[in-house]
Amino acid sequence: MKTKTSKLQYFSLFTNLLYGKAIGITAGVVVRAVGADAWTSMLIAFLIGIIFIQLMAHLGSKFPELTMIDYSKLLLGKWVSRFFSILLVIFFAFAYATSANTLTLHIKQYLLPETPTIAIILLYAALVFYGTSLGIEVITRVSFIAFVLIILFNIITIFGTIQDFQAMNLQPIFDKGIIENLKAGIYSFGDLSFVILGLGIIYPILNKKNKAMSTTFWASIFATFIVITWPFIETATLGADVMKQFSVVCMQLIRGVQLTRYFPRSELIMINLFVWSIFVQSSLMLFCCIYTMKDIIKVKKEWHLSAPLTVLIALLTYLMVQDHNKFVEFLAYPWPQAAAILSIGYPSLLFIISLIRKKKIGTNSLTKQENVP
Amino acid sequence: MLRKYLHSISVILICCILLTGCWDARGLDELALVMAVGIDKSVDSDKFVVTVQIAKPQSQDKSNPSSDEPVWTASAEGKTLFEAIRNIAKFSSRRVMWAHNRIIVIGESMAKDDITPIIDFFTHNPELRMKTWVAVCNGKAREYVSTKTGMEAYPALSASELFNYYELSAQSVRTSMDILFRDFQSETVQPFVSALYLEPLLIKQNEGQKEKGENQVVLEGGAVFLRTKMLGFTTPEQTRGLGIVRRNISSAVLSVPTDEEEEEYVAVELNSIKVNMDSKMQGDLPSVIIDVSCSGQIVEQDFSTDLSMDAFKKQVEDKTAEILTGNIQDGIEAVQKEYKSDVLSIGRLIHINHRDLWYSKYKSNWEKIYPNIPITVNTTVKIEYSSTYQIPMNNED
Amino acid sequence: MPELISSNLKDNENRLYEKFAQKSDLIIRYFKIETLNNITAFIAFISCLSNGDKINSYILHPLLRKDFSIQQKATDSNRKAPDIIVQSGLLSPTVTLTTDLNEACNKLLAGDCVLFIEDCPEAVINSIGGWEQRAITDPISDVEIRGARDGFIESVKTNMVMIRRRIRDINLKFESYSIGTRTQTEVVVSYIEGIVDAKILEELKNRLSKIDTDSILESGYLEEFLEDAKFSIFPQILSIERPDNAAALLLEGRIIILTDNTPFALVVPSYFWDSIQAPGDYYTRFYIGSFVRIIRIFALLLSIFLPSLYVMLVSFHHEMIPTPLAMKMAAGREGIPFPAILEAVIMEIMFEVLREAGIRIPKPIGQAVSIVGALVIGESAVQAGIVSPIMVIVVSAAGICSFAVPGYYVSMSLRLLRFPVLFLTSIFGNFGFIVATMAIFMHLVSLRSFGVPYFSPYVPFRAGDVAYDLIIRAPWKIMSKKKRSKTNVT
Repeated sequence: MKTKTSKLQYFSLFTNLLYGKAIGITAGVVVRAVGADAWTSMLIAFLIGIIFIQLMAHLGSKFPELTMIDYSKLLLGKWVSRFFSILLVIFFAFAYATSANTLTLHIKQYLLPETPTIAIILLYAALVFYGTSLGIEVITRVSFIAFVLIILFNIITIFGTIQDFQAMNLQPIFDKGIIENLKAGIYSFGDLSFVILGLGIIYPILNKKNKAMSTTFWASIFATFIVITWPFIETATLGADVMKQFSVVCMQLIRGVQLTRYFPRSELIMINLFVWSIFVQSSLMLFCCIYTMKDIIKVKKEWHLSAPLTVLIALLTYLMVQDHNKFVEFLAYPWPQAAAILSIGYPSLLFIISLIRKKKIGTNSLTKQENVP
Repeated sequence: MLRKYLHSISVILICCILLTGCWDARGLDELALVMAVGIDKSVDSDKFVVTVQIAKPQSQDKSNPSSDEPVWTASAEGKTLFEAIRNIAKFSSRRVMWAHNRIIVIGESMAKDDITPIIDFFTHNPELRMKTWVAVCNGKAREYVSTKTGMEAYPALSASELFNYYELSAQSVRTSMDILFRDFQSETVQPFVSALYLEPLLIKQNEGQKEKGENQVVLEGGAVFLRTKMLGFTTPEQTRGLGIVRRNISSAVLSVPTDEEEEEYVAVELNSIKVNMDSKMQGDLPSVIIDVSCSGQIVEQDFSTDLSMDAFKKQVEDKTAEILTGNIQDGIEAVQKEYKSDVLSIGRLIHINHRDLWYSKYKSNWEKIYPNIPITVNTTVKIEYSSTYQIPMNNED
Repeated sequence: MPELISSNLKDNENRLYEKFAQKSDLIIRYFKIETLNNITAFIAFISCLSNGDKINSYILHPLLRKDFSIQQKATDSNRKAPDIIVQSGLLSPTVTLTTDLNEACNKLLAGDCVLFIEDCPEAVINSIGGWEQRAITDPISDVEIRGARDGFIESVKTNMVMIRRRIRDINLKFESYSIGTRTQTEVVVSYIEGIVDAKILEELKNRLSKIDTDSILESGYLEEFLEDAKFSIFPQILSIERPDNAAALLLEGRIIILTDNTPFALVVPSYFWDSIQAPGDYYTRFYIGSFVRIIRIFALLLSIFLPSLYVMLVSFHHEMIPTPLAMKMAAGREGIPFPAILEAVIMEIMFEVLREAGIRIPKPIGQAVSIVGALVIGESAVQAGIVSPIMVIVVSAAGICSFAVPGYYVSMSLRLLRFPVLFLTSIFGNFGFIVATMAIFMHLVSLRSFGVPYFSPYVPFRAGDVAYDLIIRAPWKIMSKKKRSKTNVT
């Protein structure tokens, strides 16, 4: 990839990739499994996820100018890697759909109840398509703004909910036992897989690769912190029993936020601050999808592939969210399980093979680097 | 090349969407803004009665100040709550909009029957604010919503402003929809809702003949619930005690008798009331200790004393603590022994502190165990200063 | 293909008359240089372009004087005559020799006087052009309270003088190009060697050489030819009218393109943020400079978004408005026959019409029209109950805000953007608003001006530049070090 981005933008990508879906919908899914322990369960899952993010960064640092698709060809051979590429296209398509639908739920349930879902989805898809066609550089630039906005969003939310904060709602920790918590951690992989597999493709855009591992590490730690704030506040403020009730938990929290008596409602402020982040998430997923697809089907002009693909994915998005409850159920089963298998299995496979074929690859990758598109 | 096509594609796409219209657009002038809603259940016909107070936008025309009422109050009946609410649309010329609703008044009969439909309606619909005040009234909610009360242009505003100053007398609690919903949903905490009274307080000067004044809405006392039903009201003093333990009241102004026989009172303003609850196992049953600590100042003193400041403060501290403890114990007595409703989240405390025992022993028959749990209250009051005075008021030379 | 000058004087005359129409303003005057073998010669000039006094004193007078002391006796031919005349005959400061008749014609058109000599295939070009030009006055589009009072004028030479006077540095370079096959407009690229980014300069020269047009009448023509994204709504090249601003930008490492016949100079590369920075910021105390910049950013945002925000609140998200304000808004909208969006569009268009009329109307009537306009739109429309009073406030506030942005053409672009934002908002409420905002933002960050990100230095984020000279105008002591290297980062 030719485009390069600075460390700061790379840093901000992590938070944005995790944030959008995790704070509301995943939190709700986890709460329905483990109650008030949602935040600990998510925290544990995220810490496990960081291991795989590091693994991905490690693989990336071995092939600094290659994307996951490129080096998987070196490691696994053409046909096996093509098989995985097809899986990844499907994964990224679904990832885009879940991410976009997170926004659809927010908009449809809280802001525009009477607007047809398809209109919202198409408008959003058009925006995302515009973003991806401008290139990953633009997305990373939006990502930086989004990063600033979600930090602001977190601060405002903390201030808005502090008066309703009840530590009692968070206790007792590990109410249903640690094992249950660990099991519920699988739900978080619906989000973590975005970062793990997305990182494989966006890693080469980082312009200075020295200390890339530690940047990745701190970025994921920071992202974890920013995201975990949410289930933490949500549980403390709403209580697990209320959280269970709603499909988009974060909006329910925001419904109760009253920023002084002059701003009786803050949904709109929140949506405005938050959309940027979810946009980064979904447009990166679409970007990765198109990128992977390009590897499978060769086309002369990029838009010949990306435009129909976007329309198809928008339709998938629509089909997925027609029934809101089915969609949220889908995010509890089978989506996170499938995502977890792919996002844990694929990097591990690549890693193991890279260890076995260490010597051979070393020389190969040097010669192949020239051919990178 | 890409960009060229991109533009045409997006233009066509956007046009397709846009030509179909604006679905959610609704002019502010097409809406009836509900300011207050009262919900009753008529006992005889078993129907829901919904009364809404709708604000009428005042005309801007200064030369012709409208003599109209600023509000329009309407009422409709229905077999279910939703039907009743929808029935308002039958005669309302504008679409009823709930977003600016300030206060939900639940009639006594309704509260005693079942509040589930109310909770559902006001949380299910995204238009409604979660910070809307909720109160249970004595009698019919309909009267409360249609009463002209307070100084504001819209009576509902006056009523809702009461909830901002409830801590002055600290004889009620403040319940908003989100708190009620949280308690309602929780297995281990029972709802405790503020209560309203109508009292003839306002004196009409023009028609002096009237014996009694106009009715005004008063925020006083609390309503104790057990799951979906209201069990009864608590007195203002009990409410104060319960409110403090529920961490709903964090400051208060109390009249403290220093000498009951001579009726000598000081007024104490308490700030930052802090509550700490803990539980211990005593044999088979857990016992609960409630520690209340607060600081305050003396703001009024309606008699002379010859005590020194320190001694006076000490005396006031003791008396205040005594009153607070009394209030709290009264409150606990009422909810624990009389209503048997766990509004103080004792069950949650036990759950947190003794998780294993909770699951093995208490959870299944908590309702039987709860009334027997011994609760002790310790109160410490620290009087920090006496407002502007350096020495107590005295008439010695 | 150069057309050689003939040795025959008469032939030259005929060819000149052929090129310029017979009855043109071309003037040819024959004379004999007695002191130099009595050779026949003529001078040609365009009457309206050349300065008669200068022709007299620089050319005719020295050549026709009897005491013209050319010592050297002409030998076998007149072939050396031009050299002799140039060396010791003519007084004009700039003299060149040419053998090309076309070049001579071009010079004639530029106001020069050309001397042709019998039996000599060379012509002597005297640069003595001088025509009437406007006096240097206040810049009209770029007004500052404090700062120099001179503005660029239509003469590129005078403009160069104004810059030179400010920067007395031998590294300040002017490179002249003539562009436009017919107009042959003089375009001067100026930069300070050592500060300027060589890559950008190279790119600019490359783009200038690729311009294929017959005319450049104003720098606006040039702007469109040079821009990276020609279909973008944002002007990626700043146009300025103040020489002090030009000097400051040159010192930042920018390139200034001066075009003949227009007082507007172009700045390459330009950034979005240039439009909220005015030269006056650097002349006033830095608190004030920083404060007005913050105000301008607010103004800029409000000028695009305020009408949409109002429409969004009043017809979609009523719950967001605090109740007392909602009551006021509802009262204002009571009885208005149009939906908010239509009301907004009508008012916006009326406002734009008023603005445009304000420019066109002759000054004496202008006053009357603005009063009538304000009355009709503001007072009467509200009185008649056609427009809500808050809408009038919103539209006029947004209009005023757009004038607070110093870059006039950026603020025009932003005003245009108001309509798509309004349109999307009226259909999707807040969602449409966000989509429009994001699309604008993404477009902005994807733009480049000569390879430099247009939204720089905010995106990509360079903390130093943002802190010192974006929203805050840092004190000179801090900034002077930083500022010099600003454009060298791409």
